[in-house]
Amino acid sequence: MSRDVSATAASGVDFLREHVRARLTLVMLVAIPALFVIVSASVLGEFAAALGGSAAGNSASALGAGWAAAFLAGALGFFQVASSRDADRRLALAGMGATRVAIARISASIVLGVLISSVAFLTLWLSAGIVHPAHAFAAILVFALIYIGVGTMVGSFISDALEGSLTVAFIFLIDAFSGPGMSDSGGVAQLMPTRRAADVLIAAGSGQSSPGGDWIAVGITAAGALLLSAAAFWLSARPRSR
Amino acid sequence: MTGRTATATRMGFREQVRRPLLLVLLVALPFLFISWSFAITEPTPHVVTLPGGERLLTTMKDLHGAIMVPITVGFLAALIGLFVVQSALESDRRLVLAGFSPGEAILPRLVVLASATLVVLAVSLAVTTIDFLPASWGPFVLGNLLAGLIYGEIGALAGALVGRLGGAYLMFFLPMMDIGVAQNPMFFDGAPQGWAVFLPGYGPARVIIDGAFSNGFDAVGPLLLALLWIAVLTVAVTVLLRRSVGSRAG
Repeated sequence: MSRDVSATAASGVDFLREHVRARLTLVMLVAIPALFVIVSASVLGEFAAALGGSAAGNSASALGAGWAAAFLAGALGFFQVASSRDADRRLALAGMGATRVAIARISASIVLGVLISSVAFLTLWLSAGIVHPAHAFAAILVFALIYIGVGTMVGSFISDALEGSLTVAFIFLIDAFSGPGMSDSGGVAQLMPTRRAADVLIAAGSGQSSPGGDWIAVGITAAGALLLSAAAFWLSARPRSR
Repeated sequence: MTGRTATATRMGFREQVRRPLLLVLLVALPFLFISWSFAITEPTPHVVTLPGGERLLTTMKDLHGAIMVPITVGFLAALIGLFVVQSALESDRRLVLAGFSPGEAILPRLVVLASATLVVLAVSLAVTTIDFLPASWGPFVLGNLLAGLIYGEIGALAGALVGRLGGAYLMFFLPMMDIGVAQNPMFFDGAPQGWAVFLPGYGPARVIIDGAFSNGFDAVGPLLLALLWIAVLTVAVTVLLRRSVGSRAG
């Protein structure tokens, strides 16, 4: 049992090292969320008003931090899976098993998701100031976790880089445009993946706490996205009988 | 175009056509982004500054619809440029090893990239006409074409310089921040701020705004700037790809 855990952890560290060694990519992973939060902070309130939404001031800036974490995490999750599909299948076949490969791969993505979220949060905190920093960080992290799940799921079923990237972008833009604060639409918009996390983030940005029910919904959504992505990854990486 | 370049171009098109999801996405994404932008934006009054300096009262709805076209075209062209070039580099090196000149190997990729940009542009313009008709079609179409070509080439450069993942991060971010924020007349009192002139989307966006809301044409300067971007990027892409497919072939 402990040997299984240490083998999975070692693989996760290796997957992480693979990413860290691409210095330029790592620099972008840090620079892009910071730039996005700074640039979008000045316009998101106006944009929300144009769409009939209510997000303004720090709430809109906070939402920008969540979006930055989400779109980078989505791309990260997709490429973690799609670009290493063959290697992961071989690892699974060689004895590691699809489950452990999935756990290692998604764990590496989560560590990088924490990095992205931290950069987005710190930029938001320094540039806008947040009354409930812990709430804001948790909500931004949930944006990243949900999109790691989305990216991993897309990468498990679509191997082509262009098709997969467009699919992740498609989901992200629909989600962002229909989210709370951006439009007052109900119906299908209520089912979008970051809906509850955006509620919490907007509340944190405006200095309000969120009710316990929102936190439970946020936790369930993040855990569900990661579990579904692990299942999708397992399905795509498992050995096939010939 | 030589016979083998024509063959490589035909194969390049066939490769794209055989990816049905890609074709669906290239049509569905512009349709959804643009029509949804019109649908969810309030028709609140907003003043826009045209390239000639005239201030015009319009609505957020029309502005969002007009600027959503180059955002969509630029974003999609950037991703197409990134991945068409990235995925082709290895096979193009083999083509060069097999006797193609670097130019003969690169040209089909650029033709595929330009054609895909035209498809996205055509779909985007067709969708736009449902809700919005520009004052002058010529500059509006030209500006959007320039936005697509500029970002397609930037995507191609990113594919060759920073790889898939780094390129994807960059292309998710750059067109949105450039055309979607810096050049967007929905913000900053209806005109881009001074620093926006240094970004690649400045020229196309000003030509588009002129075409969208003015019957005349006062965007000669931005048009020339956009053409300069195209010229510089074309040289950079050609040199970089020639070196990339040729260097490992020798």
